[in-house]
Amino acid sequence: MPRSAVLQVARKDLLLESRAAEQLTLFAMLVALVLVVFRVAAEGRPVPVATALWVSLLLSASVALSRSFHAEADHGTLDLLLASPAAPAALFLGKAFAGAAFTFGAALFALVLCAAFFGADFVRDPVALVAFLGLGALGLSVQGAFFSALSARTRTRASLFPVLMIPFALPLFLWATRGTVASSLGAPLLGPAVLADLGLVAAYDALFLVLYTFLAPRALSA
Amino acid sequence: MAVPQTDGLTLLDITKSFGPLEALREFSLFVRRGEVVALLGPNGAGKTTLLRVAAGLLAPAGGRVLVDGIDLVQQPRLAKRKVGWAAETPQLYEHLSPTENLEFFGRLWGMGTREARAAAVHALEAAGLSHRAADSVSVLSHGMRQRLSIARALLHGPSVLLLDEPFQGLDARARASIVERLRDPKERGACAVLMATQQVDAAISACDRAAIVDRGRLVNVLNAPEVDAAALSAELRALGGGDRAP
Repeated sequence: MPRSAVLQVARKDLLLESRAAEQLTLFAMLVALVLVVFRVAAEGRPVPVATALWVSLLLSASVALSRSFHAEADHGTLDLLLASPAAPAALFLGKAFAGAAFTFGAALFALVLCAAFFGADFVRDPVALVAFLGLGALGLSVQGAFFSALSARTRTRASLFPVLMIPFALPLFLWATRGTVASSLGAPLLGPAVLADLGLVAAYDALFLVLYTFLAPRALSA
Repeated sequence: MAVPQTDGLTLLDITKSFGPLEALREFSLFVRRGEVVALLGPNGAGKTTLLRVAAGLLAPAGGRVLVDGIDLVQQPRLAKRKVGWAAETPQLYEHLSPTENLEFFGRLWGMGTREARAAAVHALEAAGLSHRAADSVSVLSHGMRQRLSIARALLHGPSVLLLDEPFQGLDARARASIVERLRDPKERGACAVLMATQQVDAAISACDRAAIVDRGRLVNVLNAPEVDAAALSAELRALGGGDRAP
């Protein structure tokens, strides 16, 4: 698979996002909305901040990442991408990597909002936190790009996408939340609690990246 | 059926169905390099479906598509490298400039950075859009977008150019500009052009042959210089395609 096509698609998506900010705006609004709901529902009681952080990321990703291939279908450019000699797997990977950058940006935004709403006490180990957010962003983006490709040609794609994506993203959500909670309680990055969950999230990313790269031609021809 | 040629586009016994609907029935057509062929027919006759099969976007249920003798199903990446395709609605990224659009698609079609940049400059000149090269596509008129879309399809020097309703929504001047482009000896010498359209006058002035399609079948092939556009329009109105194929 030519690396060039992967880079071109990712670069194009980042350039488009830098101009239109379609996905990032959607991400930011949804993240803020979910965290505000947590804040209001807490009524002054302590909030499990790591859980709120990952719930906001999961729910916002389950909407915002749908734009990955859906936007191409809306603009008619999906057909053009598929008519090109670029391998479908390269198109998928380009979208997944660009989406990971958007998701990571949204995660940092969510982090700032969490600190503003609930205090910054949960940030005991910034390195572990950023590692979870980075790997989590990649995993969410891989799921998002794949199910966006799979649902891009369906009439009910907007409602179908979260129904498809969320169940597959649940293991990532559970491991990332558990690891972030352990880290926020002071567990060391290289200790068994954090490292095990970090390893699980990394393995999850690698597994689905390879699996979906293999399945991308079928998803895009569906 | 034997394969009669290796250059240009060869469509052999193409069959395509959507559920119970047979959109194309044993459709065979050959377009030589340097030749412009118009696909004419009523709505739902199967013109767009045929172009989508030829572009590799739909897999035929039967038959073969050959681009310069390369089988599109067996060697899709090699064959697609030789095909340029422009749909009815210009497929462009609105928040990118014409230059950025062309460079992106040039790279996607396998060009190097410098090659894509040079090809984009040349394509914009040929399309008369050099003065809008840095503008956002979102501020271009429909006619400009259509010209840019065709420039994009020609960017990588394809052997086969597929155009779906290239005159749709254009005024007379913009149509004439596209007809002129299609009749350009440099363009025609390079690729086989197959275009689907319902605009008989513009099609006849741009093409060498007109292929009449109805209900997924090739009904007739006419040499353009011998065609009476008014009589052909009447004949097309009499055909009963109806809105069949998606």
